[in-house]
Amino acid sequence: MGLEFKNRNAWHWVRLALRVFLGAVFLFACADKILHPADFARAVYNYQILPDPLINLTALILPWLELVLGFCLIAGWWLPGALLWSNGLLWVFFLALVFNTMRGLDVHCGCFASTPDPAGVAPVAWYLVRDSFFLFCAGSLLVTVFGRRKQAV
Amino acid sequence: MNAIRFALRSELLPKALFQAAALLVLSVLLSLGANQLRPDGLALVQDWSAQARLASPTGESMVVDLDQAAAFHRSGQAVFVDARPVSLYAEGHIAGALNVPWQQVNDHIDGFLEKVPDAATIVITYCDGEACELSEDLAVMLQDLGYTNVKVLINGWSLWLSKDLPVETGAANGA
Repeated sequence: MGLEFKNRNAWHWVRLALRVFLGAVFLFACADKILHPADFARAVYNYQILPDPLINLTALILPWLELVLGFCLIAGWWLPGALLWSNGLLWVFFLALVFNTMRGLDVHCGCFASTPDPAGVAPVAWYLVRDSFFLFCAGSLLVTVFGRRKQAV
Repeated sequence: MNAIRFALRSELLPKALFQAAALLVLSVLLSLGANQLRPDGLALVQDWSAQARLASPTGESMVVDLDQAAAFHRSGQAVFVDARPVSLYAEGHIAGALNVPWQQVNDHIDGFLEKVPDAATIVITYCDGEACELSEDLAVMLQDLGYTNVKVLINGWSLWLSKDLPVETGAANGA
């Protein structure tokens, strides 16, 4: 069973909180994408990173992967595998956003802007800060699962 | 002094990789199964080219190429509509183009309808970037409003600049 009730120290509760938070983020993120796959496919296309044959497959599979990861993180099932995916996905989202921001692509509309639209700067900056926080949470969980504490003199 | 150090539990890695692969397989099965059951399921592979994206149900594409657009511009037969935000339009746009920024379309569409009352007018929308959907969304809206000759110049602003075709600055022609 994934949930650990033996070790009720502060670390345990912090880890539990991080897991539930990150799981909820994935569940929240996947809902609209699962309900509206065509809209999400257009959003994937707007990132202008994937080749055309992979756009619909990605738009179909990614939200379900997020759903599965959300449940695994909250329930504590298969944490090592779920955390590998969580960290991998968050890094991909983060780097794709950075890459497109650097090349001046507004991912909302797939359009290039020679100068940043003042209305568009705040959301991108906000996405980057938000994704950095998610990455911090996922990275911390990864360290706690894959790391072993050693006492050194 | 005691310090706490972390060591990698490398024995966990094979297990983690197996779980990651299994989670992917589960997600693929769930997603493809759900897509199969939906009445509006997505095609697994789709043509995302501009021609295909902007094809009407009859198969006719709304896409106009640069040479055709430039010819329409020279002859004055078409109204050009810039779908980018006002700030970008003011920095530079196709000479004579109106501005109907898609992101504030409700504030500008009435001005456009007043300036272009004839529904048979050739209207060419454009924005910037191969995947820019502002001009595509605007074109579909104009078509829905009854305009019968709406076309889209994909990546219009960059293409127009690359050929040194007539441009102007300022926001005077905003719709």
